[in-house]
Amino acid sequence: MYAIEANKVVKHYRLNKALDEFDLYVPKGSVFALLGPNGAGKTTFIKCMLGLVNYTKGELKVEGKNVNEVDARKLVSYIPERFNFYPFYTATAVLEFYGKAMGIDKSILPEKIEQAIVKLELTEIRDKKIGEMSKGQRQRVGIANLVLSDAPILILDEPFSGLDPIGIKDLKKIIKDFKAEGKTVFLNSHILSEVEEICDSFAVINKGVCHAQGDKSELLKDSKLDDFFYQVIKGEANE
Amino acid sequence: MSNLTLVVGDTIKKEVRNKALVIIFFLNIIIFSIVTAGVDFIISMVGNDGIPLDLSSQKIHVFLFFINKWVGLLAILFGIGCVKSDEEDGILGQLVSLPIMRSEYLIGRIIGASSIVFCFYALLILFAVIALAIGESAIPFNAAFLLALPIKFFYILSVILISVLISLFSSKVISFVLAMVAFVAIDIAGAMNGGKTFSELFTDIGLFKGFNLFIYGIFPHLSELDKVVNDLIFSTKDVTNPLIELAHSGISIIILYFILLLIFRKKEL
Repeated sequence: MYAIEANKVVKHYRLNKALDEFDLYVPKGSVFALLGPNGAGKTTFIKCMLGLVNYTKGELKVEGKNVNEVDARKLVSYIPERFNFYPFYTATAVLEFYGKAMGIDKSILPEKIEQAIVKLELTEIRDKKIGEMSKGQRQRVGIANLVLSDAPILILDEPFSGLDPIGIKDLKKIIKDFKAEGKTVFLNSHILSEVEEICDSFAVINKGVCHAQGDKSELLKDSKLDDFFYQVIKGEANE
Repeated sequence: MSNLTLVVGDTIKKEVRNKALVIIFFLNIIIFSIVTAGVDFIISMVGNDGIPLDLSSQKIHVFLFFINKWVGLLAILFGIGCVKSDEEDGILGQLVSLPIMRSEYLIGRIIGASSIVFCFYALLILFAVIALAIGESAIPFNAAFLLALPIKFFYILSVILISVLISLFSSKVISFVLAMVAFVAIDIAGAMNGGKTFSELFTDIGLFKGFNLFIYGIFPHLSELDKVVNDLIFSTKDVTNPLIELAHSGISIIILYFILLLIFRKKEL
C-alpha cells in the first residue's frame, strides 16, 4: 500500500484539463517531491488530496482511504504556500486552534505546542499576533502546525518560498526529522536545488500529465535534478 | 461536536472585533439621544396634555424600530462576511483541510455570528431600557419578553443564513447589494401575503403575484417574526397565528440550510 495513490485522476476547470489521467504512487515514509513548471497542475493535485476541489474522474487515496471520506482528512496535514490566519491570533493561539481541530488530546496539547514552538524557534514571537508577523515568521507558525500533527502524511505546498536561507536550512532539517519519525512528506516545489537534497523520490508533472516518477537515484543516475527536469519538460514540448 | 464548538468560539472571537459593532453602537446612541431630546423638547413646549397620544411612551417604539433596523443590517453584514472573508483571506481552504467537516464549519460560523448579533441586540435593548429609565418613561417590557428573545435569535439566524447563501456566489459588495434586494423582496412578499387566508393567496395569480408567492413560500417570514417579537413585548396581537409563522420559518430555514450546505460542499477552494 502506498501513502498516496492516484489512479487516472482527471480534473477539468471548464474546458481546461488541469489533471489528465494523472497517476502517482508515493511510497510510505518517504520524502516525495512533485515537480513541475507553473500551471502544471501541482496545486490542483494537492487540492484534490485535501478535498478542496472535486476531481472529475479517477481514484485518489491516502493511506488506502478515498480522499472524500471524512476520516481521510485526519491522515493528512497541510501547509499552504502562504500560511495565513486571523490577524489577532498569536502564534500560540494558532497552534492551540490547530491542535484542537486535529483532535490532539487536551492533556498533551500544551506539551506538544511547547515542543513545536521550541523546534521552530518561535519562543520570542510566541505571543506576537499573526497580523504583526513577517511572511517568514508566519510560515514558521504554519510549519509548527505540522510538527504538532499526528497525521502520517504531511503536505507542504511550495514550502521554501518566503523563507530566508536560515529558514530553508531549518526546514530541511525538520523535513528530515519528519522522515525519521516515519512520516510521509509530500512536497510541491519548483526550487529544484533544495528539493534535490532532501527528496527520496519525485515525479514531474506538466500540463496535468505525469511524465516521470520514481526513486531519485534511479531516475537521475548521474545527472542533476535541474538537468533532468529541463530535459523532461523540454522533451515533452518538442514532441 | 468539539470541532463545532471550536468554530463557534473562533467565530465569536473574530466577529467581536468587527468594527461595525462599534460604529452601529455609537450611531444608536446618537439616535437615542436625538429621539429622547426631541420628544422631551416637544413635551416641554406643548405638554403631554396638548398631544393626542402619550408621546413619552412612544419613545420605546422608536427605539425598537431603530434597534430592529440596526440588528437586521448587522446580521446582513456579518452573514456576508463570516464565510466570504475567510475565503478572501485564504483561511477557508486551510480550515476545511483540517478534520473540520464543511457542515461543522458552516453551522459554527452561522451560530457564532448569530450569537454576536444577538448579544448586540440584547445590549441595545438594555441600553434603551436604561435610557428610558433615566428619562422616567414607562417601560412596557413584561415577562413575555423572555419568550421574544429566542424568536429574535431565530430571526437573526435566518438573516445570517440567507446572507451566507448569497455571499457564496459573488464578492462582498455585490453580495451586500443582492442581500438588500433579497430582503426587500422578502418584506414585500410578507406585506402582500401576510395575514391572508389560503384561498385568498391563490386567487388571480399573475406573474408578479406568482413570484411573490414563491418568495413568500420559500423564505422565512421575517417581518412576521419581527411582529411576533413586538406582540410579545407590547402584549399586542398583530400576528394571527404566531405558531404557524414560526413553524413555516423553521421549515424554511432547514430547507435553506440544506441548500446552502449542498452548494458549500461542492464549492471549490
